[in-house]
Amino acid sequence: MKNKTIRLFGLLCSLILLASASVSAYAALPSEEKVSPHASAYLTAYTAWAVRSSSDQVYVYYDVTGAGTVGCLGAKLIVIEMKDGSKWTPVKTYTGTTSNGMLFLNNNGHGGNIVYQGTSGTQYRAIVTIFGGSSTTNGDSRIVTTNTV
Amino acid sequence: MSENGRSRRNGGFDEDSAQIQEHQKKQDEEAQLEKIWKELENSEEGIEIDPEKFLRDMAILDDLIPLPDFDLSASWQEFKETHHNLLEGLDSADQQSSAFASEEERPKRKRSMKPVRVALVVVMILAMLLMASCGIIEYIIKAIANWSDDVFRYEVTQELNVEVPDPENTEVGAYVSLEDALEAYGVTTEYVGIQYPEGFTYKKVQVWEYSDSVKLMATYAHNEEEIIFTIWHYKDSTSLELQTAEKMPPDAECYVSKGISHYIMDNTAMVTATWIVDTEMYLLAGGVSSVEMKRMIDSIYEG
Repeated sequence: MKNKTIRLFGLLCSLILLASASVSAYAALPSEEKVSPHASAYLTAYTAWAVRSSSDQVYVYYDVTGAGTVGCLGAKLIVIEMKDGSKWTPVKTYTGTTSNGMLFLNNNGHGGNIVYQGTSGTQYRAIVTIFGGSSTTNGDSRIVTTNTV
Repeated sequence: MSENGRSRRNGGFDEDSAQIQEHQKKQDEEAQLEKIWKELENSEEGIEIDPEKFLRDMAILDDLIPLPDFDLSASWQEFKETHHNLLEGLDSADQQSSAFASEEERPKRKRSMKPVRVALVVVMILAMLLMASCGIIEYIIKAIANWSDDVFRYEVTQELNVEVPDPENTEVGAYVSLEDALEAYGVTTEYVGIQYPEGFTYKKVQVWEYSDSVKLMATYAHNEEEIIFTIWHYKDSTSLELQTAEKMPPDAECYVSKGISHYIMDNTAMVTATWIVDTEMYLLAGGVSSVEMKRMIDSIYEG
């Protein structure tokens, strides 16, 4: 019993040390290699989320706050994914332009949504590419994965 | 006279006769053995035999072919000495199994839980230290303030899956003041009266209405500089869709004013502050210093 307890304790300590080492290793990575993006000269805050209506319509919202007035703000790409067993499969892609309103010029904030007709019993989520820049092509992109609906 | 015939001399019991008798006996034994083997073969082929007769035959066999003298203990001892290397494991296994047997026979002792408790406490302490090192500081409503070197966000602690009727399209409106917009959307909050740095004047308010929240953003400008004050008003705390704020290393500074935690962080040329009160999330950002930001925050509550 005593040996078992010592072994269990040793195992737990090893796991915790391993987790700590992973966090330290992650912190030691250069900024460009981290999943989280760096500070931005164009973006202050952003978010994206999904809501499902009673008629199985999937609404994907995005909201962007600029770092002051910037040349272009909004969502550059929205990919709707459906859950297929244990994996996620893309089912629809929306590309942001100033014409369709997903991108907005010369403002300090922008938000909007797209609507996708889902199927009953299927789970969905969206991968949203948030964008803020001096123009539609030059700036910072951040990827947000929405909640599952 | 054949060699196999009985001698009439000495009553038939002379030397030759003894040899012949012995030969005859051997022949009888062989015949008997042959008969028994045949019966045994028959039994293997499934032919029914008399079990009593079989046992009798086996007894006869024992008499006819006696087993050589064999000392089982001595033989086992000799075998063990010859193959002691191979038998070491077996011996220890035997000892172990006998130890288990004796343990089972003994009444069970009450096992002490103290080592387990100590282990759990140590694990909990280490886990807490780990969480603290990740930047988790405190709980606000149902959210956790969390940041890395580069971003700040409040993370909701519950699953977001709000069932709503079809929402209206997002709209952007124009209002004469932030208070005007707040009133138009039925948002009641006393925390909007900010004393902005000298020279900054009201420029515009924009409103974005979402399914479960409304975003009101006021812009104050001085020459090319802007300060933006944004309020996200949520219908309830379960629909908090929280923002990710950009930041520079190292940590976000927690500035407490009127008992509310405000998180202040640098983002390139701007300073951002964010906080949550009830179902409202606030964000104040501009090209100001950290000291000016704190002064603006204090002015909200001096009101």
